[in-house]
Amino acid sequence: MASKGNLTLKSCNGKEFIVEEKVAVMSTTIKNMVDVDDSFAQGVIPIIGVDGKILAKLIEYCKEHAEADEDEEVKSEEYLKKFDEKFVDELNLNDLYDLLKASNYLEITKLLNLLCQKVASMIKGKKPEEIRRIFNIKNDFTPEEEEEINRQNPWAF
Amino acid sequence: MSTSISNPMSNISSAESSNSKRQKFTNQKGVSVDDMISNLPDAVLLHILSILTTKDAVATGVLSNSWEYLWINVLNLHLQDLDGKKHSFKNFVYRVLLQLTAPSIRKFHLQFKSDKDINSCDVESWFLIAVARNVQEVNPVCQSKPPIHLPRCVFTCRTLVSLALCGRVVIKFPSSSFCFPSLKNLDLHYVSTLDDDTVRELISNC
Repeated sequence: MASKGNLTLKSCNGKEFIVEEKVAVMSTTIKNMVDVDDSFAQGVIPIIGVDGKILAKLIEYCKEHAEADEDEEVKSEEYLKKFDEKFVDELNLNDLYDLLKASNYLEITKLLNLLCQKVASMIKGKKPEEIRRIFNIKNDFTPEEEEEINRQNPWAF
Repeated sequence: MSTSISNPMSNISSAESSNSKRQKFTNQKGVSVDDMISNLPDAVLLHILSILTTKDAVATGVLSNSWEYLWINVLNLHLQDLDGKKHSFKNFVYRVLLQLTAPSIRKFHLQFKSDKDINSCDVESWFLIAVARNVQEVNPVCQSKPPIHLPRCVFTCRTLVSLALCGRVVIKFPSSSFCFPSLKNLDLHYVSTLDDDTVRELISNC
């Protein structure tokens, strides 16, 4: 019964989502919970530290990919690529961070990889000051310390 | 010097793991709560750094204290010298390999233009370090003369699962060893330096 049923996921701010099990188990963490304890499959699965807005985004992503995994004819690789591009392009920085944390915690490998690729593309080839500005990173080195680091690996800078 | 306020909760969350070295830094110097990327779990930041070229990954060490030693834990190395910069690529590769603390190297991608500065002993030393760290994927790329000779240690590497050769890479099978015991994936991309017999032998070892 559990293998074909729906699961109820509950965000940390109390929003409940009913999703197909094949969608929910894209998360290895949820899959392990359901596999180990059948009561999770019947009841409500609390998703600790993930709010309703982020959980809805996670479900949106997993739904597309679970359906594609099931039937490649329905959703082609090209369709998924376009979906992924649009998915990450529409995220603001805060949502990007929250989704990174949530997909890491819930072990949604494909999504984690996609989001990490997005951040990497924002860092790639940029000067440190530009990266600090984009991500609001505060430079807490003294000028002497910064110079020392630049000197250690001159090829990288 | 730091004016940011330390947030003791920033590293504690169900979705976050911690690395003791970094935790110490955030506690000592403090990472601002506004600096959300630096507060991401180390596992996530390392995932991001492992996608970048090693040059870009090393360069993140200068962003702030919490980033300084993060890159030394990356699993994938993408050591590329495409434009032949004024500083020595050779020194850079040695320094990276010496500083790396990750117990294993998952991917070792080495690409450089021919450089009088780099000889076959250097290349062999780098591959020896990768093999000693249980490398799983090796990807030498050479588009100039002289070619890269794949060192003997790579042929007998027990952990090597994937071998991707590109450009001018010379393969000379050692006569008496059992080669590529764990190899599953072989990718040959514009390899101009292999004869038919070597290609056959490579395929038969997969």
